[in-house]
Amino acid sequence: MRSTRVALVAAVLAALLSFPLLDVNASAVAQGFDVTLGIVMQREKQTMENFAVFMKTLAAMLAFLTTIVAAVTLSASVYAFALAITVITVNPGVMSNPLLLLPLFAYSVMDVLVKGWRRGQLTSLGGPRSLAISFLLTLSLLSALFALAWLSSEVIWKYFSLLRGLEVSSPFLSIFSELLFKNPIGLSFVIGLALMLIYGLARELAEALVAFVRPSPKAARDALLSMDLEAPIKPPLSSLRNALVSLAVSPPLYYLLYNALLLLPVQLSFPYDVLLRFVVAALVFVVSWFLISRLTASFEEREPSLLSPIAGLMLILATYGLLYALALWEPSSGLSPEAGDDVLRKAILSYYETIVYMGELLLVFMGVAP
Amino acid sequence: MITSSTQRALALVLLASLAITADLFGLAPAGRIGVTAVLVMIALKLYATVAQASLESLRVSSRHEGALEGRPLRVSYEICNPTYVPLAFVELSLNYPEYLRLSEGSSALIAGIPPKGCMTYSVSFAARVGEHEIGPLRALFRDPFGIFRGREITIGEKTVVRVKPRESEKLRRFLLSLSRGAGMVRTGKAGEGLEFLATRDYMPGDDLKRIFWRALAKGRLAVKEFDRESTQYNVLLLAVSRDMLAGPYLQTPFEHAARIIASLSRYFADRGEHQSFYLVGSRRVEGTRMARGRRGYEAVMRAISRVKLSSMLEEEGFSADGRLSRALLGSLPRERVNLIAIATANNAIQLAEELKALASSSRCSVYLLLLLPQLYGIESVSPMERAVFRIKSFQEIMAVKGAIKEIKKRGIKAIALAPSDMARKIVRKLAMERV
Repeated sequence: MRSTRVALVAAVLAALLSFPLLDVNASAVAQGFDVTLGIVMQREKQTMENFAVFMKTLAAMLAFLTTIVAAVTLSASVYAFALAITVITVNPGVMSNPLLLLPLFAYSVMDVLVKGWRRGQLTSLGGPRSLAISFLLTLSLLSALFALAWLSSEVIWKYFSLLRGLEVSSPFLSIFSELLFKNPIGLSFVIGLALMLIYGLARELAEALVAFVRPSPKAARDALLSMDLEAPIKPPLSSLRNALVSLAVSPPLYYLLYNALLLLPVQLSFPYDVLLRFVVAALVFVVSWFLISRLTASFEEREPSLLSPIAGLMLILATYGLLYALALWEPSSGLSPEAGDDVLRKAILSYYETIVYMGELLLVFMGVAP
Repeated sequence: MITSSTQRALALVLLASLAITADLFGLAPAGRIGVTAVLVMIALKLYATVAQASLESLRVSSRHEGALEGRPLRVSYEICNPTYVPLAFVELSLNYPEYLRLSEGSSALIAGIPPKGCMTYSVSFAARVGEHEIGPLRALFRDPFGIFRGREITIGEKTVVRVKPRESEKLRRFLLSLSRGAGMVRTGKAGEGLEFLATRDYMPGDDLKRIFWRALAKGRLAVKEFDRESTQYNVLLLAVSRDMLAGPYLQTPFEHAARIIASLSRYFADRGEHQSFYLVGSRRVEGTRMARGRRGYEAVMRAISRVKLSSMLEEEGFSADGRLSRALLGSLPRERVNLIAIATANNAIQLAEELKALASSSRCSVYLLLLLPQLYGIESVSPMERAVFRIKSFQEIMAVKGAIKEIKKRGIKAIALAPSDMARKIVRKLAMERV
């Protein structure tokens, strides 16, 4: 913990010291001060330029020194320090060079080796021959992995670059296109999501492949034994069941929320009003799915508590309270909210219409439907 | 989840995000680097998953050499990778008892195992008497960048090593010098034997082969007399307890006791005497059969080398409940027996109580040897330091003296000495009492 704290403090310090390097040009920094502070600072311009050059030199020296110290001591904290400084102080133009990753990976390999190395290891391995074999093995493996990743990244990054220049003729889809592909934040989100999906898929594929090709009773036993005994058992297809229940519950909530938003003084035009419907529908579905999943999970626990029935009762009371507030139910009419039948019908139709519309647009957007 | 990510994975993801974001905001064309970093991570995840499965199919064989106290006890493991997946890196660590000390090598290391190949891992311990369980190995896979780590698994089996005590060659020669020759017991009385004792005048009935011709030539009719050969029956007994493991490595009371027993056993074997060995504790009475010569010695050595030091740590101390007496009475021969028991001062009085009945019978001479850990190594310090030490340990020595008094009251001969003198003393006593 102490070394982590030291590394963090050092990284922040390095970031502060190397701040001028972000703009690269020291005179630009001085110019910024000049504009901000006006004539008063004019006399100090030369001084500020000198200061910026001094800071740049200091940060570069620090980066150089930490790199040397990291290489010599090979400790994790220094490694983190060097990494932070390297990332912050490096010239943005250099970041396009793939060789930037190599020293970082080299640090990682050395750190793993140093942490695992013990005195007397060479004797236990029977001499340097085994060590040389290990070294060559690792080097060839890493070279192959890195080459494969570098070549694959060419294709993948070209695909992402193409997304930036994507032109959409539909005015409705162009909103999404602008939001997700033209906007750097949206595109970052899309790329992040895509890479996460690739990672998740690769992980699942590898685990399934290993379990199929080389089934191991020992691994299965270990996995079973490592499970928490108190963990609730999730029945098969329970997510689908909860989704279906959420679809049944969501329409009234969607209707109430959407109409409440319409009461706001802001008037939305096409296509933003449709977008609002989508957002509300999706939000209501996600929230109700989450709540229903939690509620059903509490019933499926091995030792259900009294809280679950109480929560269910509160949900019923809240529903009737809401209906009473909207004048859709009178206590004298019994438990059946007949007065709200028309409203309920309208809510269900409106909600499912939105859902179907969303699904259709999604298919069009993905190029599956014309 | 076959493998899990480490904190470095987070650092790499942050770096990749920084590079991709920098590219998207037009700061630097570093998007491809970010994607490369993520792809390296994905590739490593795939590799780690497959490698973990390969780790679980490693084949391990073990062997050991040097099972004699004081010599290096070398334990080697050959770890073979039957798959086509190279394993870089594997962190190996060896399970071994905390009371063993490594003399060479490392108990943990990091190494790579080639595909369809093997590696050898070996360590050496400073061997100490008893039975030790070494292994199995624990293995953990970690990718070369340390981004993913697998589940720690055990590979191979436990290796059981039995280390025999080493008797002192110098002491053995000294002990043998107390007798006239190997294989014969000095009784000092005339009878059947090979060694010449004396001459006497011929008496009717004497065998003509025994006539001493040189005396006859001088006009005297005499015959040679020979030293009567006899054999002795010896029982060696060790009362084990937790306090026997206290002290420096290889210098604990148990190890000294084991060496004394080894020396005495070898001495008895060289003389062709019968011997057996008993190991007693708070919950056990284990003995070997009475056997003669080399066979007896081997049986005693085997029994001592099977003592588990881990079980000794659970020994509360000997209690006189009659089990030992019953076991001894049921196995002792009709002939006279020397029973030599070794114990610490804490156990000695209880043991004396148990052996009291045997000591009072005419067929058994009981010697109780009290180990004095306070005197270990005292010869190697300066006279001044020795004097100071004696003053400091005066109370404890007096307590031992009190215990000796109590033991003698029960008709048992008690000896309390430093371990180096113990075997000599007891052999001298046995030699004096031969009949």
